[in-house]
Amino acid sequence: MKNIRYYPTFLPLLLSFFLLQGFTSQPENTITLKINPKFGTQNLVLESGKYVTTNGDTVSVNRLRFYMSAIQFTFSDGSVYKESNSYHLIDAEDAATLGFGLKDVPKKDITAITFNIGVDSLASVSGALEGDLDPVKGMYWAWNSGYINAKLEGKCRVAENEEYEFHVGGYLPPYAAIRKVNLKIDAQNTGNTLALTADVQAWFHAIQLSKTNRIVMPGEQAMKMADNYIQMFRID
Amino acid sequence: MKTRVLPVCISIIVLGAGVLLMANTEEPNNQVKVVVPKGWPKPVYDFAKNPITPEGFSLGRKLFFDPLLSKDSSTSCSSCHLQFTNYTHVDHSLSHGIYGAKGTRNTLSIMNVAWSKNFMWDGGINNIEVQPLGPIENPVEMDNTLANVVAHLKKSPAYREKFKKAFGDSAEITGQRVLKALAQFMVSIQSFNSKYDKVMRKEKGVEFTEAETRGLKLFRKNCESCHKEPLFTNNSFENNGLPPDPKLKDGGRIKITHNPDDSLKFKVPSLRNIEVSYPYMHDGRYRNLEMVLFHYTAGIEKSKTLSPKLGKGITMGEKEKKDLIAFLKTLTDKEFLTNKRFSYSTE
Repeated sequence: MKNIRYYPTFLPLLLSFFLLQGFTSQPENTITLKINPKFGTQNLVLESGKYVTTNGDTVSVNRLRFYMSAIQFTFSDGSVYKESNSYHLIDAEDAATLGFGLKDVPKKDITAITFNIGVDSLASVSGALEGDLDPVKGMYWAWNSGYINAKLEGKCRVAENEEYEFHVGGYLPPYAAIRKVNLKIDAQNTGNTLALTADVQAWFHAIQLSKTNRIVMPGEQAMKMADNYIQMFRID
Repeated sequence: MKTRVLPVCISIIVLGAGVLLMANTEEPNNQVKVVVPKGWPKPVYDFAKNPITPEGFSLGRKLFFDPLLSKDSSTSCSSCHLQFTNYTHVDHSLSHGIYGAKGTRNTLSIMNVAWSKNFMWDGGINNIEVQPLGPIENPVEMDNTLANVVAHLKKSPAYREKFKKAFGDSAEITGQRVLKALAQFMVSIQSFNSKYDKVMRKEKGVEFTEAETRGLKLFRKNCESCHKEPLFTNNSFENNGLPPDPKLKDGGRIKITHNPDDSLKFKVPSLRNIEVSYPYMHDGRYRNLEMVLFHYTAGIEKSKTLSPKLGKGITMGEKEKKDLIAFLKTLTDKEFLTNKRFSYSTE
């Protein structure tokens, strides 16, 4: 019966819950976040599109997927909105994933958006999760547990087998590949939709595909690639 | 409202704690409860996030025995994890899977896994719930994807019914639910009724022979530091001095950590039911316990990462080896190896 001592902790928790229900602060609304995959200034067309990297390699892209998590807005008054249970799998193949609503955002001027590319270590050790984190999505490593934070696959003549494959992940130090992105937003830009450009070109920064064309496990190469692709985002 | 919620909360907590403390395996209606035997540490697995129900357990068992999990419907979990040989692949040094393909390692047991921090010989898998992804997606085991498994299950009226029973009326078949159900079955696979356990519990009429008693003493002197009682593993990774196989080139733990200090280290397996778990070692190179003891007394190869516990070597005469083996055989749990609840069922 020693568990009875939890009783006093429950009471204030429950009370505050019911109290909070009574308060509604300023008006709130839904902000739609849109992700526009591009290569440089061109819209990204999977499979058939041909693009040239900054290193001069001609590539096509068959697959682009990444997790956006822990999305936050900072407002002009310094306050912060944090989406709860914030995990979104973005998949260039699936238009439905390229836009989603963030609920109950206070109606104030947004000055910055912050999010992670990848999945945090807690979710990475929590077994089988649901929704976008369900291992059924193909973004979970079978033999070395943990999420694949981001995936880019495609074709390139100079690469081995004429293919490149970048699966970036890993949650354990020293190879934790989750990365934070922080973008400033002009006050006049904030309607009910916020469009982010995801420019795939950033992945290939200082990459020679003849040499580096396959990253499929956590490690130093994955860490460098994660540093590359956080440069992918901008607000056009 | 609050006054009603509180007593319910408390009684759920008290009941939950009660269930965990009860050392009672016999439950009505084919229910399976995971118990914490007296003197055992707290389980690693978080049961609160996946409470075991008779329906979930039954679904997990069905999945465990179903070759539908493999790409060509040839191979099930139970193909390599056989109950009567302690959930290992008896007589196969390296386990094989789909299309007759051969793996690079010997099957590990699924026993007392609720107490395991990580899985596989290299510890690459961090939670029992995601463990099945390893064999399902390995090209030489089941060569499948979880998405494919889910798509197949959705076509089966029998499975749709079982998922509904296990996860509620509106329950869709999802990857998460396949894995949660399998986990319910696997964490229920518990062995704690060997002769050793009964002697430790001072049960009436069960006593060690003289040879077994001498064997226990030798065990505690020479083996206990890694194969720690009562689980008979310390859940760590060690290099036990096996000369590396030049063909397999298996570095073990280093594959996961990339740390040179982990080269040639493998998971310390539990010794419970060791008598029936042959062959032995991560690559199944030893056919019997005599060969294992020959290795530990005369075959240890020195290297940078060799376990310091083996640095001085183990000295044991032939008679002592016999005594030690006599003790190791007291770890065989016949009730566990033949318990019908864990056998194939048409249910």
